[in-house]
Amino acid sequence: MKRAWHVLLMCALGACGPEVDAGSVHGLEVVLSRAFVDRLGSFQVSILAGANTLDPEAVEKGCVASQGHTYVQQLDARGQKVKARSFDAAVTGGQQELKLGGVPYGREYLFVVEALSADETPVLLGSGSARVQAFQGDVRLAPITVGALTPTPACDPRIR
Amino acid sequence: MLLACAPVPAQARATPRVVDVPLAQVGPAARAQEQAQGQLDAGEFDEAVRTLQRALGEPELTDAQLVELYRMLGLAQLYLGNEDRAREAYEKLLQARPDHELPRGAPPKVVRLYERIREDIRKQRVRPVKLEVEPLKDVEGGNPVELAIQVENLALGSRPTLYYRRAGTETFGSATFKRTPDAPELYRATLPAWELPAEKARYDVEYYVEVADAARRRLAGRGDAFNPLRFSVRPPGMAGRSGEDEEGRWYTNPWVWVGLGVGVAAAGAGAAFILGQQQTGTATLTVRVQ
Repeated sequence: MKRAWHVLLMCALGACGPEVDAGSVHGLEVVLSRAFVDRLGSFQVSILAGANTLDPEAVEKGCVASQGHTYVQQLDARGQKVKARSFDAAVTGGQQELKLGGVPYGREYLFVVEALSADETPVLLGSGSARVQAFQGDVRLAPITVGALTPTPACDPRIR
Repeated sequence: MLLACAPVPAQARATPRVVDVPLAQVGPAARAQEQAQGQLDAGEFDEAVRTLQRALGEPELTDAQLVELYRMLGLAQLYLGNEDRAREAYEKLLQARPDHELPRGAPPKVVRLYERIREDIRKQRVRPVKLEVEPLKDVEGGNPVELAIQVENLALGSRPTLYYRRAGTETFGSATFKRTPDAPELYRATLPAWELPAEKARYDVEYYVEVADAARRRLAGRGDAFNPLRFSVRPPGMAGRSGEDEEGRWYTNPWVWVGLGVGVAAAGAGAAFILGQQQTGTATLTVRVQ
């Protein structure tokens, strides 16, 4: 009901045109690579602002943590604002769902999924991303798989 | 209206690289499985037992992994002369796979014990799953809520799940219970804070707990989709009150809200747009192995 009101008002205010992309999701198809599944420890998901100014392929080539991007803050399971969420790798039944909560409505988000190794000091095994032009409401991104990086970049992927 | 305003999603950028990795090989349990097999082959049975027990403590294990881990644990315990512990391991294995056969070439001692256990299980009555749930009390919005349950006699491959929804909505979401490492019969699930947002008015959340086997058959439960349990989420700063206390209060009279609603509607139209900019949502990303 709240969403219907919102859309109704946006239309009434002239915001409903080709420029408005409310609710749409741009998924990125990547595939979890055989090259690193044995070493997989966790997935790290961050959301970068200004996706229209970013080159996703360049982002995926290295650690997001060392690239100096602006993060869209999300909420962790305890309700605290964080730059990135980390999920232990538990790929069962053919897939794993990574659920992000408390993501503020906004435009031009780049969702980045990074596969980290299970080492004590993890390394970045692979990276994939999905651009979302308008994030509004509950969305389900297209299936994401993460491609392998060879060689693994020499950087600490952990976003703190 | 919604459709008329909905934009056309842009095409996904795709760089697929197909692999054929069995999912059971993903994660630390798979590595432990390989390590334990190596230790068994080398005759390091004590180390194998430790490796397998550590792996069985992992929170997420597939049924196939559990079967293999218990099979190796039974074997290692038998080699160590611990027949009772070997029996425990094989009982777990046979609970999940009554038709499981030992590999050809298994030592005769192992085969004899295995057949005895299988016969015992055939005669044994199945122990019912016992579930104890401490109902949730009212909580303050904006905070996560943890539900602890106790499950006894949980068969291999069975899992407890917490189902929840905001009262008045149709579908239930779910949260997985994780075993507490120090207390194997104690499981915990967390309702994340974003599912229980702080609002100005109190609202109810319905939930139930269900233990189901791998075929989704209900083995035990507390509440169900038609008769769920319930707790209230109160606005921040408001002390918890019982339901009886609220009856008769002015704000529970619907006519008060009808009157107020007319006045608020005009102001709400503008405010809804502004508030909409500050709202948050959830996103579910699905990682697949192909």
